[in-house]
Formats: sequence, structure tokens, C-alpha cells
Amino acid sequence: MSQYLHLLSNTNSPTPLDIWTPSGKYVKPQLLDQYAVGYFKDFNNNKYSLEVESFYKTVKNRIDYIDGADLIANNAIEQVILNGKSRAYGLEVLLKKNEGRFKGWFAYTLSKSEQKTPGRTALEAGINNSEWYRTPFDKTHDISFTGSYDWNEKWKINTNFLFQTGQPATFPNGQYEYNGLNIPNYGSRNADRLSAYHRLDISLNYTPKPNKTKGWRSHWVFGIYNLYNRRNAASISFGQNEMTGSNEATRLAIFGVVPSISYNFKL
Amino acid sequence: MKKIFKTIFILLTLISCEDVIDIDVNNAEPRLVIDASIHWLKGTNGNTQLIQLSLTAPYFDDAIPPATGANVFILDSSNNTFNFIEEGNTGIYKNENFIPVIGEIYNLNILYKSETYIATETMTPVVPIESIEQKNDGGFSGDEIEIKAYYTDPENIENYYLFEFLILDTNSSTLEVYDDEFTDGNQIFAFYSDEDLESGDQMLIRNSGISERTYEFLNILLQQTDEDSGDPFETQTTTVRGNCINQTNPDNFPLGYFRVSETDVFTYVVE
Repeated sequence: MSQYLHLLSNTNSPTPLDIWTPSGKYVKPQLLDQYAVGYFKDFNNNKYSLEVESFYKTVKNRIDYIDGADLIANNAIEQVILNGKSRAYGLEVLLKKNEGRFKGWFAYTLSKSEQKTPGRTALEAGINNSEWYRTPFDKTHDISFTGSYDWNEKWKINTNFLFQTGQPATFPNGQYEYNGLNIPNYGSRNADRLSAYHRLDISLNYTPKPNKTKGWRSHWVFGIYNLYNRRNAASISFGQNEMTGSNEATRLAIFGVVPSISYNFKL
Repeated sequence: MKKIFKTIFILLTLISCEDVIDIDVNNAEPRLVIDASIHWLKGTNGNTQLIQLSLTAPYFDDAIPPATGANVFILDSSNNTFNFIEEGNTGIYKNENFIPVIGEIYNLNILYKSETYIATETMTPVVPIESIEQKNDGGFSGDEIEIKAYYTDPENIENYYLFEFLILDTNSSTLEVYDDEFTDGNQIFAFYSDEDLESGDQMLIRNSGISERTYEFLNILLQQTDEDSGDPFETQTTTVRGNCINQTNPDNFPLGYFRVSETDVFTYVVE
């Protein structure tokens, strides 16, 4: 498989702002080879199904920006990126219940995703001394559970749980003073991780007139996103407290608990 | 009424995005930090110079340990040796017979814990700060004091500038670097803006001539110490290596920089 668009995330902590760059004279297309072996089985009269799959993939021409690169509003982006490669492998398990009042699935993925970006010549160190390092989306564990239960004809409960290993990030491993400034000294790229991401969502589905087959058919959904108000970190930044001058880490969390009500109708 | 406030407070804490957290970070082995900025102030003989040596510290520590007991000297091209003697155990090394010459190449040599660190830099000249302009309704919200320090860039020469804005009361300093790519030969200004400045505050504005590589180094370094670190426009963070080399053991590289500048100082009292 080939991909002609390249993603460049320009921050030390993952944020939603990304840059995409197309392939061209300087940026070669990404070439991907993927190998997968899987086992699929339905049992108990197709009531349950089990899928187990393992994969291994390699990507050529995976680009990454050099240390200190400034990507925003940069017209010559090819000057601040290096060409490398990446690899990913893992095991996926999916267990599904397809029928009955309780339906749902449970999925678990164990995986590793790494990349290697050497310098252009033997004199250049590349990124992280040309050794394998984590890609920005490496997640060791990824667990998700989705379930729905039909209480009766009118009421239905849905729930959704996610657990993911925190995204790789780069944190300082020391500080020093230079020219009257306090300077954080950062370690190798993506050597650290944000704390684990997990949340539970729940929703109630209410259909006032379930037997209606014609005309105005409607249902209500009452939902709570992130039920236990987990403050999942979108990024962690480091700086000095303006009052005390001592160093501190600041977490940016985007959504806490979010209640919602929606009304759906069909004509 | 109380209930309303309580509700608003709870809503705010639920919505607010940023909070300070405790986090474990790795602690790397301490490295030598070389803060060797030689300044030849215009109108002085530039004989007294200081070099500060310290070590890196764990990120959340409050104190930075000095690097004491080092042997520090600077050599110029006519083989004059300027020895820097430590003042007590402060990590501050002083020389009182330095000879500054524009365009002269200086070699820094430091022996610390039986490893030799070296660096080379050329004394770079600078033009004086001509005037200061103050504006009291600056900034995004219109309540910041803006200071512009004007200077005239010499034509047809590549120039790089380091401006330091030092507020004497709070002992805080802000650094800005400029190049003359788009301002060659023109009168132009260095810019500083601060919402905490008050009328009567004393500030020192220092303009130093720097080389192109010093400009590149400071530019990357300053981006990493940006107060808004973690913003989406930030550059990739990394270890910023300066121009100092560990000759004995290159892997144990030092941080910091050896810079030799002519410097102009302007004392300004905020109106």
C-alpha cells in the first residue's frame, strides 16, 4: 500500500493540531507492507464470535521532523524533516455477543509501534541517535468494551469503556540556568508517556411508543460522557510558576464529565 | 445566593482545562553548564569579566548547584592568557585584566573533574541603542506597557542582535534575538511588553552583537523556554547543544554557550 500524505505533529506533547504534507520532489510516498494471521470462529449458533489476529507491518519513508524544527508557516518543510522508517506489530482479540437482550463486544490490542530516523550522512546523529523510538501513537494496551442491554421495549442501556496506555511524549530530564533563564533540558524524543487514558460513557435510550410503525417515530437519549470525570491529559507542559518561580507541570484536559440529552425522530 | 455561587464554582471546575499536577520525570546524570558570556560594554575598558559554571539539576528542584573547583582560562590569538579565578565556592569565575578587541578570536578552556572543555568564538561588534519609545495601552488587552528600543542596522553586513530587558526590582530578565534579513540598513526596534511594569520601574536594556550561530542557538533555546510551552505552535523540544565541546569524553557534552559580544547598555525609567 502507498500513502501520499504525511502527518507531522509539531509538539512535544500530543495535541489535536497536526500538519499534513503531500508527497513530492523531496518527500517520497510512504510504502507499507502488512502481514496478518487471524483466527475467526462463531460458536453457540452464532450467538458469540471470536476473532484473534496478529499483525506485522513496515513502513518505508516515514518522515519525522528534526530536533528544534519549526513547522508552522514554514514554506520549505523538506528542510526540517528526515526520512526514516517505522514498524508496528501486535495482537488483537475481539469477542462479540451478537444476540439476546445483552449485546456487545470486548476488544483488546497489545501492540508496539516504533520508528527509526537516521541522519542523512554518517556524521549526522539523526533522531535519538538513529535508534528505534516510539511513534507518537504507540499504545501498548488498548482495551475497549461496548455493551447494550434491552431493559424492556421502551428502555435500553448502553455503555462504553475505554482504556489506553498514555501517548508517548517528551518530558524534561533536568533543568539548568543560562543567562539568567531557567531552561528545561529535554530527554530523547517520545521517551516518556502521558498517564493512561480511560473513561466510561453511559446512555439511556427511551422510546415512548415502541410499537408505532408509521408516521412520527421518536426516541430520547440521555447520556453521560466520561461518567467519573477522569481528567485525561491531552498534553502536559512544563514551565515556571509566575508567583514562586519554581518549576511545575501543567496538564491540559479537554473534556470532563459531559451530560447530554438528545431527541431523535423519523418520519 | 450562596447556592448560585456554589453551582457556578462547580461548573467552572468541571469545565476548566488546565491544572498543575505532580508528575515523575526522569533525572539524567548532572552535566556541566557553561554560562560564559563575555560583554565588552561600550565606553568601558572591558577588563572585568565573569564566567559562571553550574550543573544541571532534577527538573523540580529549587536550587541549581554551582560547579566549583574548575580551572578556567581564555586564550586570544596573540597567546595572551586570561585566568578566571573562582570567588569562594560560588561557581563564579572572575578575570580582571581581559583585553577585548573587536574581531578577535577567543578560545575558552575549562578543566573540570579532569575533563577538558573547549569553545571558540569571535568578538562581535554592535550598534548603540538610540532611543526608547514607551506605549501604555499595548498588548492584547490594552493594559500592557510596551517598550521599543531603536537602533540603526549597518548596511550590507549580516547582523545578529541579542536584546536583554532586565527589570531591576524583580531581577527578571527577558531575552529577544533579532536578525537583519528584512531590516538591513534601516532604523528598527527591539520590542518588549509587560503587564506588570509600573511607572518608576528601572530597567536595563542591553544590546549585544552576536554571531550567526549564536543567533541560531539562542533562537532555539528561547523557543524551548517559552512561557507558553506546550502550545500547539511550539517547536519540537530537545536537548539544545551549544558551541562547547568536551574534548576528553565527547559523550559527556556540556550545555550552555561561550559568547563574546560588544554590548551597549541603556538605563530606562518607566514613565
